Amino acid sequence: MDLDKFLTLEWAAVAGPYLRGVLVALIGWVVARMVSAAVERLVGARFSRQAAMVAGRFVFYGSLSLVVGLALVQMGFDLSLLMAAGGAATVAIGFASQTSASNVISGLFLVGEQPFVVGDIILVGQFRGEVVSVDLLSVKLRTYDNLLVRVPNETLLKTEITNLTHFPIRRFDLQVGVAYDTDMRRAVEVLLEVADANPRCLDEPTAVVHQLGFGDSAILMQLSAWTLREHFIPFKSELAIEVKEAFDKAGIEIPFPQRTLTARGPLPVRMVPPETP
Amino acid sequence: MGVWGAVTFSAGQMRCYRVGAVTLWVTRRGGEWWVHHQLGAVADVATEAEGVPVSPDAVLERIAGGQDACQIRPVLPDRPMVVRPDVPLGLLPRESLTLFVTTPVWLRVLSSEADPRVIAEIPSVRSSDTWFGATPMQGELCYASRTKARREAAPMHSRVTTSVTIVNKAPDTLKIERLKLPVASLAVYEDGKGLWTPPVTVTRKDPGSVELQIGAAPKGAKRLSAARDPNSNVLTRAMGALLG
Repeated sequence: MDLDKFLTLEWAAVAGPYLRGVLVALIGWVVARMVSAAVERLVGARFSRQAAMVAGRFVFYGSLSLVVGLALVQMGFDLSLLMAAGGAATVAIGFASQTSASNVISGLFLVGEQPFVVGDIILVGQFRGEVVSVDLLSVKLRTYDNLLVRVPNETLLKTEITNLTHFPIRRFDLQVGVAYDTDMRRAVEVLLEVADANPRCLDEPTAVVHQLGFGDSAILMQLSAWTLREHFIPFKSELAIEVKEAFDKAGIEIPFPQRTLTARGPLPVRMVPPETP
Repeated sequence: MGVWGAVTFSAGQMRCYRVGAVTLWVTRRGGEWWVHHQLGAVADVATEAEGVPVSPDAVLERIAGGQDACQIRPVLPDRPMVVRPDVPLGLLPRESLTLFVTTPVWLRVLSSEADPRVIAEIPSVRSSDTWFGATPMQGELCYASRTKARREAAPMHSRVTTSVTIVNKAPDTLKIERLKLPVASLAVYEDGKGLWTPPVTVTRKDPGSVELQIGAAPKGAKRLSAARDPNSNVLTRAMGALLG
């Protein structure tokens, strides 16, 4: 292009519509972000974090689609032609995006069914973490050691999810073995006293002790006690420590694995003199 | 002087309060309130003294600001109390029964101003948490009372007594195994003999629902603190939400 044409802005007649389209897209993107943030705040004030996030995402992607359409119109594209051409491309795109579409639809089912919400702690496969976002294609978890795990929505819909924080209280089962010469009724008393004395242990539902059976090396017992979900982790450690201390004080042994040797006849014994240095 | 009242502190002055199982040391120091507290053996006491040294195991809360005067007020816990009668009993249709329930006080240290501000709030007893609900899925977190509901009143200085009248207007016998007392709706009064709340009436009109009413203030008693949630007076609740 020569200098005259550049200075007289003749290039603008050609580039103008594209520049307008880009400008519309940029402004539209900013407006879409602002509107979706406002919607998220409004919904969040009345409903849950998850509902706010879904509403915000819905408004953002909806607005962005409109903005892209407007930008294309500014650039001079005929949308009706694009839609006609798109019909033919849809089949190809459909095959290619099966997984994405499945994830989107799975996400909608998850939002409707709500087996968990943002903030819940869930167990999916080998991963345990806090739900930090429920997105279009996946759910993001933050593990206890601060790792980010992305789980596709389709996976969540197809597998078992354990929601560890859905209900306000949880039961902790502490299994302990006691020696065979233990007074079992006394052991039960001691376990219940430990539960009663722990301030995090709920009075109701009441703690119970179950006999699990006669193991190889010990009589197996289980103390089942309830606590608030927020206290579950420290409660587990405290209860184990308190049970050990109480058993030590009561003279109740938690035995090591034991084996009894039975000789079918007299055992030969040989005295070995001490080694001289 | 009694525990429940306003006191002006000079700089560095410390006072010790013993209520129930808690010992409280309140000190005014350099524009701050130092509140030490320690739980010990349970006793029905409400005393105040000076010159008692702070226990080395006491927990300290430091709050800056306020004037040099504060007041100690008894308030009720921040969650409902679940109480059991000394023996589970039944109540025949068209009969009523009065039980006396005691709740441990919490000590609220307030600034002595026209619009008092809370400096600290300390339970006089460490109450156990409990769940009041038909299932572990639905219910409410409450405190469990370690004392039983009794048929006779025995006023106390470190616990607040509530008279609960249960009226059974339903056609069947009501089994009373435990009762959830919504203490947040009750103010605290003192009549010289002990601490009281207004009486409470629980009316069972049909097997599925109960109605709770809070009565007038006890006669001749002075109000020491208002209810935490004074907006509830006549409450209709599901049967399982109050009695079980």
